[in-house]
Amino acid sequence: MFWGTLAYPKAAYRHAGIALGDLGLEYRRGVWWRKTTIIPRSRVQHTDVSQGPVMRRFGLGKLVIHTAGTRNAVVEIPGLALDEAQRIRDRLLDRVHPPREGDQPAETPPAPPDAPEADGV
Amino acid sequence: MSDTRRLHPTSPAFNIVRHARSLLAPGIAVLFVGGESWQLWLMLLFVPSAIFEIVRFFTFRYTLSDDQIVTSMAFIGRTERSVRYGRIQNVESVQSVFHRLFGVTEVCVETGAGGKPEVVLRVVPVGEVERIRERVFAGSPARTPGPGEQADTDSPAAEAPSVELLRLRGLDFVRLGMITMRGLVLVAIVLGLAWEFKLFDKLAVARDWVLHQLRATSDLSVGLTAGAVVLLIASALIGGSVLWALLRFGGFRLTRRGDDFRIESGLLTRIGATVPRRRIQLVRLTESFQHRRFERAAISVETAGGVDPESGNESSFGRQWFAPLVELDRIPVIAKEIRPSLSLDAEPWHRLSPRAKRRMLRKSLLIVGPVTIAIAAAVFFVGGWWLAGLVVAGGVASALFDRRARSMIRYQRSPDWIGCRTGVLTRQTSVAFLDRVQVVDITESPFDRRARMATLRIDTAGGGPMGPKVDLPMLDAAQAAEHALAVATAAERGGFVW
Repeated sequence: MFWGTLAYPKAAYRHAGIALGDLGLEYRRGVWWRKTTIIPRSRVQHTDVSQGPVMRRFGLGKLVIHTAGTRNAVVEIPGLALDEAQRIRDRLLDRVHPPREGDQPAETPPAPPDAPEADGV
Repeated sequence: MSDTRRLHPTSPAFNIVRHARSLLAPGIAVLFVGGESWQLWLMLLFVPSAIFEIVRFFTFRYTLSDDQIVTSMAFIGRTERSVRYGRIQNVESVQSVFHRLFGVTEVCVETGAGGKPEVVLRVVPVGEVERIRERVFAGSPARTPGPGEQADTDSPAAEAPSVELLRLRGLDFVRLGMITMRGLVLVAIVLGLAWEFKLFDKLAVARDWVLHQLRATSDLSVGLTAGAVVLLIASALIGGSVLWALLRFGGFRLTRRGDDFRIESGLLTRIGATVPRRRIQLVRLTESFQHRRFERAAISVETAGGVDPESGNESSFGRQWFAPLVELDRIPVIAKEIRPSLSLDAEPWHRLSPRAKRRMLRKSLLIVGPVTIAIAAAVFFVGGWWLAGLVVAGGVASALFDRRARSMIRYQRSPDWIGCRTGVLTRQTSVAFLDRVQVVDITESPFDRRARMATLRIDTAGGGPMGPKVDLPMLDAAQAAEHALAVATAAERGGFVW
């Protein structure tokens, strides 16, 4: 019970992470069953950034990436800082422009160290 | 240059008949043979639907402009739909016997959005199909060859010569009937109708009479009669299956014309499908047990969208039955036509991780074994030794089959495609083209991690959630990561092309 309520969310947080680079977006999550999803930049059809009332209370947002795939037609990345979600969205859709200064390669976390998505990637 | 046209004058008649079939037929059946009264009330819906069809005929227009097809209709409000040629995946025509009497056909235009066709022209003169196809596919901007493809002459499909790749004739229908065994469906329909019209009660009288006659005769004649009944059912099944194959695939032709594949099929209802070559996302080769017996295979393809798994409507015909019965030596020829780099036998097919065999053995011993023994022990008290033995035999068989299934899996990654081979009885080879891959997944279960393995899943735009996929389980984790990165890189380099 203790593990389920306290330790699991912490473990889930530790194992979740995203990386954004020239290739596209890599999203890892899962404690027992771990999953890594790679979405090439050119495959992003459109994106949503949403925020519910609880998320708003904590300044969080959910990034939803739509692709033309079947099983991965919608990839949801919850628990991002709202401005981080918006920044990733802007960079994902910025494919026609050259990468901006400070863009990092795919294998490194894009967010500052205090951002939640930087962990575990 | 725009060109606005209306549907054929017989359109309302065909549409009203279609509604009558679905709304009036059950009610009429209720009147004659009895049934639920709500089916009678359904008949009332026929009146508004008939009015709607008449209004639709007078207000519906479709326009083939330089770069899009636009349909418009006024019913209460005005609805206009524009579909750009570059997004259109498929143009199919369905022509029933009645359509043929009036020289008309239905046309379905599909994009990659999935579900139902975006534009349905019900009905237009036969000549319109070719005109629509020419406009749609000549106007498509997606004509630049991808990696691994040869640059074709960019002349419109209409001007290119037609090359026949497959034609079904003679005994092919018998083979196809035996392979697909759709006679089972016919039998199910007959049984359903018999149930609806309460024929079983009448059959019971006949059965009693036969049994009475049999009791009066010798054992030999009982055996002979039973044998005759079995033979009759088997012949009905096979006959029904062959008849289905003949009706469905009579006059089947797969041709390549320019950059499109054309499929024509059907003895009574003629279906004409166009599958643009460059829109093919995934190819599947199926060799079932029956296919192998006839030394044949089937090829199906997936393009984005258009598949309607719920209704299984005709819009998916060209993909599902791309090449329903191919001689083995013709497979490379058709594969090369789909994509020159597609050579299913040339390169080595790799096995899964070498540790996979040991892992399967461990799974059998530690999971399947104890579970089987536990069930067998529980069953022993209910059904005795023979039932417990049956459970153990089932457990052993499932473990052996599972192991065999895993050991049959092969995969291959070429510079242009990634494919997997699976199946024990029905062997399937699924190939996804790297420049059409949408998303790549690597999943690791706790057991995978313990054995340093992972499952690589390739997601493409075609096929729907239940359609063919390229999934590679039990790869070495490092190899899975390497393949995933390579596939995603190739996908990104290819850019987005439908």
